[in-house]
Amino acid sequence: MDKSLSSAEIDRLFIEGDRNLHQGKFSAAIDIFEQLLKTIESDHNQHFNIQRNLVKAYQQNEQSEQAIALCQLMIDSNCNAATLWGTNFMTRLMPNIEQGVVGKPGNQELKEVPVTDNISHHFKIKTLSEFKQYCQDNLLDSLRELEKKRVNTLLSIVISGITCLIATWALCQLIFGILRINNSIFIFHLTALISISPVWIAFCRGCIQVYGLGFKHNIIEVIIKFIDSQGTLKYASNLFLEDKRQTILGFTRSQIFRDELHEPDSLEQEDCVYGSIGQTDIFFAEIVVENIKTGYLNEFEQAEVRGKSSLFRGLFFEAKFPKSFVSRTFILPNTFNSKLASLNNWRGEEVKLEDPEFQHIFKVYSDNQVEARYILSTNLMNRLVQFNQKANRKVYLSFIDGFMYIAIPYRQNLFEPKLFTNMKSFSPLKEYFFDLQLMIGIVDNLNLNRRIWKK
Amino acid sequence: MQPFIYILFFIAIVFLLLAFVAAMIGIQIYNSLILKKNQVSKSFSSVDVLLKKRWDLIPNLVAVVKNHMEFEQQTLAEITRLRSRAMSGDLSPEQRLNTENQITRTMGNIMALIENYPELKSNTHVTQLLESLNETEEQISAARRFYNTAVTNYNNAIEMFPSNIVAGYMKYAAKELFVTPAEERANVNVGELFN
Repeated sequence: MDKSLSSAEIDRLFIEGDRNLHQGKFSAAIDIFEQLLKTIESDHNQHFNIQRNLVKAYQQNEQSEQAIALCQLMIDSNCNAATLWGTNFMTRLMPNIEQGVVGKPGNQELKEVPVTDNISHHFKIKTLSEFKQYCQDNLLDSLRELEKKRVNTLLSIVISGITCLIATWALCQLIFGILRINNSIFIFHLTALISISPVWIAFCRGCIQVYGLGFKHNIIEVIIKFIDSQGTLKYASNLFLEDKRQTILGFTRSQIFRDELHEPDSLEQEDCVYGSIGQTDIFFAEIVVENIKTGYLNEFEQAEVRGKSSLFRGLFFEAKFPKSFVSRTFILPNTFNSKLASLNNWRGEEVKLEDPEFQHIFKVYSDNQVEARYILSTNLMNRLVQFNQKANRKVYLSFIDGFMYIAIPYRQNLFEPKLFTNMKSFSPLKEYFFDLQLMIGIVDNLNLNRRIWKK
Repeated sequence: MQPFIYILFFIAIVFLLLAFVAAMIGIQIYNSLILKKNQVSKSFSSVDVLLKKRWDLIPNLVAVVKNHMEFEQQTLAEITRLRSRAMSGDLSPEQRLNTENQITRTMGNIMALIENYPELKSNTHVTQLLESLNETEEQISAARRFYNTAVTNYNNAIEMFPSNIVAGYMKYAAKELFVTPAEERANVNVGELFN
């Protein structure tokens, strides 16, 4: 780097490094700050800020030795602010060290004050290889048993199917024999088969239900325990009555798909996860929301016809948002429907934000332009873009009454055992892990544990 | 003679129609410019409300930290002076903006200094005050972004054809964006203070 950098260039590079640090690109941040430190003099007004950020970048990048060395350099420097900051930060880097070893004699009064860490809980995102290892260590027996049950279920279904066919044929032949009909009639066979098929389907359903018994407890709950290493989350494959009412209220309050005046006619939920991650209480579940179409008389005006229309099927997430706000803000995927102002009038005004990538993916509506921007800080916009890429499907969000709601539509029933896939293979497990980690990781991905605002 | 009258009549109708369409477009542009100008005023008043909210928090901050920051009394005196200046009301918009930027910068420095005083950081009152300040700073930043969006829309409208013709007739001039100086951006990093 050129030695003769102008003040503006130093500022620009510092901001770039700072941005990298915030975005988690620690190596890039370290490169910039190291080069800057080499370039500028120690009496430069940015020197302390650069040192401070470099120590943080080293710490985040798990380069403890470099962080401690730089901290020591700051402690020994002539700058009071750097010395004080370095002394304090050293206690975080080396919590067990005797402070007298690193502190200056003049700072004795500071050493007696305990340093409190604001972040009491940090959720660690698990990698796929960690999960694979965990499965091999803990889930292999359950998976073997599950695979055995799966093969047995398939065999039962196939054998019962063949038995049904043979029984139908034999029954038909018997009837033809009694009635003395020489030529078997195909339509008769078919009718018999159709009449017997509901029995076979009911039998198959029973088999599949038996196959699924214990799956949620032995597999899904264990995966959740692995992701939530702190053990602060609870899992229930089904929640009834009062809890279901809470979900209905939450879904209605979220107004993601309709305004709050309309409560859905039917809501079914399963695979509920609830508890807290750090200071954030969360709840998510797989839900199916349906509306019952108003009854009308059929063409003979004899019977009332009622139908169901699906409103939402997928994962629904609810959490307390760390900022205070009173207005409603909606974030919708940038589709043709969300672009039509007439369809979204009830959501408020359209909010045009500065981030082009975010604008490309989402459409934002809110009652209050300033509050929408207060909620959607540049940092959160960036995190939402990344979250959307991770989810790789449409994501709907709403911020109402201090809560954040997320709805991710899915076509299929989630967290169910597969019938036609080998359960000992890693692919179905990977799918469960991905979906669960996506939801549990929301708190960390969107930084909901950050508590620096008055609440 | 009769066909000639018909042609004249036809031309007059076409002219009238064109004039009507032009007048409608003119009215539409005029209204949209007024809307955009009002949006700028509305967004500026949002910033103003929040800046005033911050003024109310400054004396509390100074009162809490003045006993601890013995060697930084100058900074505290500076923020008090800047606050009085901003509140005096006899500043031009540009001077006001400048003063508020200086307040942001100085407050950023005070908050960075608080980081060096563990006894201050562990004080509940200070923590609450800092939370309020962080919240206000973030709200100011949100209001600034709203203001800048409104100004950009307004500036685009008065520079683009054909609205620039109506804007020229109305003597509308481009407005300045609420730019955060690079120095300020680098120093005030409230969110990161406790990380």
